[in-house]
Amino acid sequence: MTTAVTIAEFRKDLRRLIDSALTGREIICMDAKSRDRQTCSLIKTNLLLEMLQAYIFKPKVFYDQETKTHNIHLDELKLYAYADTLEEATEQIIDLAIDYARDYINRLELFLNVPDRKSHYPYVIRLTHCQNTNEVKKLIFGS
Amino acid sequence: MGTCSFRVFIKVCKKLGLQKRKMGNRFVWEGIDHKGQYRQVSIHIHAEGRDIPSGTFNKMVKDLGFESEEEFFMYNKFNK
Repeated sequence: MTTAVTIAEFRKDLRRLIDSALTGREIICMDAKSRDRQTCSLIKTNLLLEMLQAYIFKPKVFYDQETKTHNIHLDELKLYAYADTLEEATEQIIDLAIDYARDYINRLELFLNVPDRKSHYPYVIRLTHCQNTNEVKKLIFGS
Repeated sequence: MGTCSFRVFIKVCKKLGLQKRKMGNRFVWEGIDHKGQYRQVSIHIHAEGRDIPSGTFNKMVKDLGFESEEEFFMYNKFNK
């Protein structure tokens, strides 16, 4: 059902395989020479992003009476913001999410090997596809 | 549940052997704990120095690997 090719075949037939992937087919490329037989998939970006829509941010927003701060928890990425105003807390959580996504991508080898951070991956990929802070805000808060 | 002074929180991060790094708009305290587990806590640069509100502190404590706030404070008390 999927199309599996070797690196040599992939290289040779790149144009046709990309066209095929753009129709929605998953192209699996394997390195026959590698010891652990790892593979990677070529998939249409829009379809990937649609699949990732299942990973929804659910920010928890609350006011702390004792410190008189507005708090926002982004449990999906273990990020927390607290500030005097809701606007500041919102800005902080957006900053934290952008910085964390950047760091995560820069150190993928680390984060994908930490059990409770590996699950952040789909959320990070969603963030990396945002073009600006407004899109990040929309992604996190839904409006 | 209660708030935690920023000073105490940082003291415990240091006792755990975590390192502070500035990354963009956040300070990251990260490292490997005694169980060999990677730990990371992020604090926005504008929140640095401020007392950590109750609910948020509770989350951060768990991210540092403690079961509860009590365990966090006990760790601080008995690890000089």
